Amino acid sequence: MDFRWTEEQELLIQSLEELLQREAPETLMAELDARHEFPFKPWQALADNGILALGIPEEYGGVPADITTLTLVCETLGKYALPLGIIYSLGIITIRDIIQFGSEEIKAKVLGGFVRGDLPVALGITEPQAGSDAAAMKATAQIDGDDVIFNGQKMYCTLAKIAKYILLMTRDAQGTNPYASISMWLLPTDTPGLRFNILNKVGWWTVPTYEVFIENARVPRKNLVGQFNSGWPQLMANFEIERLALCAASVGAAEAALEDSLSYANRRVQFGNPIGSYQAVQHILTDMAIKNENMRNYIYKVAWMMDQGQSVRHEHAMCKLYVARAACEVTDSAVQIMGGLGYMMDHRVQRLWRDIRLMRIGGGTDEIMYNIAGPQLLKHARKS
Amino acid sequence: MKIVVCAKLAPDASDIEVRSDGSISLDRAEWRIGSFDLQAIEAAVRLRDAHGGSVTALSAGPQRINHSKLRKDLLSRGPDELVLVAEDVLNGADTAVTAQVLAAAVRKIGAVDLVLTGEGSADLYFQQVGLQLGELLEVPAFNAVSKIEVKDSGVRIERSLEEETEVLELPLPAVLAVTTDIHTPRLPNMKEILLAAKKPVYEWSLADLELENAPEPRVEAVSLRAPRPVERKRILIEGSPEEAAQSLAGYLVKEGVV
Amino acid sequence: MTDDKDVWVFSEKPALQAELIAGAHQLSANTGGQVAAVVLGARSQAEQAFDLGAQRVLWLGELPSGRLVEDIVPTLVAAVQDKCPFGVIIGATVRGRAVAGRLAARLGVAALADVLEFQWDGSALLARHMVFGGGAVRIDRPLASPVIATIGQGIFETGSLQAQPKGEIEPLPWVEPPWQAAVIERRSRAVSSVNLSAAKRVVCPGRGVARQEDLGLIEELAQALSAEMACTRPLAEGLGWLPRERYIGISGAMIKPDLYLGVGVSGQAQHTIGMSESRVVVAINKDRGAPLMTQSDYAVEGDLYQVVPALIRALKARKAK
Repeated sequence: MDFRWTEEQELLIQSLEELLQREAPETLMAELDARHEFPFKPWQALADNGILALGIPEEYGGVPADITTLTLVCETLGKYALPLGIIYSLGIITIRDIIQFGSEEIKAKVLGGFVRGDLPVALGITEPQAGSDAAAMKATAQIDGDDVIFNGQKMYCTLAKIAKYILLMTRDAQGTNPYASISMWLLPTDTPGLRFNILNKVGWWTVPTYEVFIENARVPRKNLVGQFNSGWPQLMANFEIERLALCAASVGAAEAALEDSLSYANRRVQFGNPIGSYQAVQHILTDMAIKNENMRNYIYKVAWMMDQGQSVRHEHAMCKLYVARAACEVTDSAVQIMGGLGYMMDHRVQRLWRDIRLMRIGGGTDEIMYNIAGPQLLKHARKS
Repeated sequence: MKIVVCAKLAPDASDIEVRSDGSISLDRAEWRIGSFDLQAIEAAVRLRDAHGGSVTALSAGPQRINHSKLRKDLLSRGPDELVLVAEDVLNGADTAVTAQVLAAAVRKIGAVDLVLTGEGSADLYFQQVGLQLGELLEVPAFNAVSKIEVKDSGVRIERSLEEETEVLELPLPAVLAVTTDIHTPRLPNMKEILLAAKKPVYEWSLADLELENAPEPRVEAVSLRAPRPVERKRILIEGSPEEAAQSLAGYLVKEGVV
Repeated sequence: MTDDKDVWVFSEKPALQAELIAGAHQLSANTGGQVAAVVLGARSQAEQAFDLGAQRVLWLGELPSGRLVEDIVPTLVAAVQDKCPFGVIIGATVRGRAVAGRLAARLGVAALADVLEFQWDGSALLARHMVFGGGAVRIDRPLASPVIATIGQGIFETGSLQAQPKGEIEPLPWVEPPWQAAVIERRSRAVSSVNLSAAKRVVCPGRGVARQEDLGLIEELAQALSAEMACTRPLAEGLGWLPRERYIGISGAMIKPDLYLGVGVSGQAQHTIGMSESRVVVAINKDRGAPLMTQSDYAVEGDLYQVVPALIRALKARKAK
């Protein structure tokens, strides 16, 4: 077993840390959050410094990177500028789907643009009646000669209006098996017939989420990604890595929360001593540190397994479940340690706390993670 | 244009540990490329990209500098190749020794048009080596260079002096120590980091440089200690901004500084 | 006549030359030699060196037009080889550093850079200077002769020095340099009027200041205190909010004013090396654990955006009284 990073990983993360301190300092991220503004400049800086190129095939301007390296990148983004980690993680699933299933034309346009600083492709899957039960979806695609016409409504479509494209999932109403009746399309967001309604969220203020109304939106038929009616397995192919990426960003946020807590506990004097000198506070801090260490080990292990080509069918769900909850606990503890200051808007721990809460819902809820992991565990036990 | 850029690899000053007796330990310090040398590397790489040619990074020091991560770090910032003179007798070498070793290496590299250095090393910051190197090579040497333009067979440079900017033209070869604001050094990306491992690294001994023995030291460091902290009153002023401001203004008047 | 106990001083800046003459007397008291000023400039300036306390004056003459101060190196090399002084102390300006480095290389020695103090250990000279970005003090002993050192402004005081009787001015024969740089242009830098090392009071904003436009507030405080505005390195070099001449620290200005007031300055060693000898140090910071807060005489814990306006009002109110 070797817990060391490679020299290349160390150099990359060093470079990224410096970049984030330069281009996404805490003062800027706080300001953007207060103004509910997307971090366009820091995102462009990630592109300009080759971070967005990682894991994209070289013919589209990318550079090879394994899943462990991408995990380290997400963790670092999460630690210094959580919204960047979130945006990057959201992009992983759509971008990887396009790498895997997109036509040459789609790949050249989308991947090339992403490497140069385009926003990730938004994912249009959830509908008012179809959340975790994605197969209950209703949005339709009607073929019309060389074109296809979309109708329907998508919920919680993060980045939809400001991204160039939505990766739209539609349902073929004729199909009896819902999982074999879903298709995946590349829908440009400037297509006539699209209307966006921004949603107010508890956190993620710099990463806007929309309700999208689609009325007779017409695009060329060649915007199909992959095979007709194969959208569901295509989407599932990259859910695991998206969840891992969200976990890594959450771990970074938890590390930031612990750092703030430790520095505060050393400084804040009550009853004549720094609060860190009291055992009650030390216990909280130690529990936070243990959770961070466990989370980090868990994501690195899952990343390593994926790099080895091993299945992470239940491991990734257990990891997501553990990390989302532990990260929520750690950021909550940070608010607690900092007392009144922790609840004030001018300190970052409140932001981490608000932003991290979504991790137990987005990318698959805690409950769905149980549903994935539980049956798999039982199945394995039956086999052995 | 054949450019050599000199960089010092040294312990990171921010990792210094002060022992209880006031002495200093660098045992746990990470070794890094001098923070003022990064600008010289950036300047060299930009000149090559604009005018063609090559950039050779050059560093001299103890064995410790011949470390694969440091080599990749240097090469990921754009130089084409690296020359290392890594021998333990060069540990803590004074500026004269360093300049002599670098001069011998530059001569061995051969046909060099331009040598760039940082403003000073990150650990000692004596700002001497580049100038001594130029003198030993018997070529023009200037410090505080904030702009370099290639012009005909020479260079036009700008120097940031205390009160003025001086524009000079000089023949090549030359040795120039650049300012910290000549360029913002690039951050290496993964492509460059991966490429770095494939670039040539030449390890030369002092014997390869025809320096049979290490040059005689001219300066001996007799002690290295943490600075004695200046005694301060350490009066903490808290309270509302108005109260704090009144209280501070009172102290400043008492101190006779307003 | 043997000169090997003499201490020579050179700076192209007359004010610095005067300080170096004072400092050189501390050395010559131990070597038993004389202090010789190496003067570049008009004859009257050479004469004046005696008034400043030089016992001998070595005159380079006036710099021919189109030449650089650095062009004196071959002349100095020849003079030092001829007269063999104990040492040459050179003012640590940009040009001074260039002269020192090249001179040292030609004489086969290493220059002692930015010396803060000379000490004697018996007959051995020791030089103290800061290394590791202010994180450590190193004491060096030169092993080769002559001693070449650079010394910055404000290290030695000129006050106590007695004028010396006017002696003979000894001209140094000019040696043509082997190569020459053509001077194309010299332009004064608009921002360079600032002389931080001469300022009695200095206000220094750091990274705690969130936006460039907020510097107006700090500027207003500086005015209320009749202080010069300085800054930390990231404000000058990373962000470019203030000119480079205004930053304090290892590669910037070294100051010892009566009052240093840091606003939102964390106090990294690379910065504090440049201001640690200020008489009164004040820090304003949200974070009472910031290094500068614990190394100051008066540490105000609070939001600078509230404390600074309040302080401006308090200072103005006192002035009005």
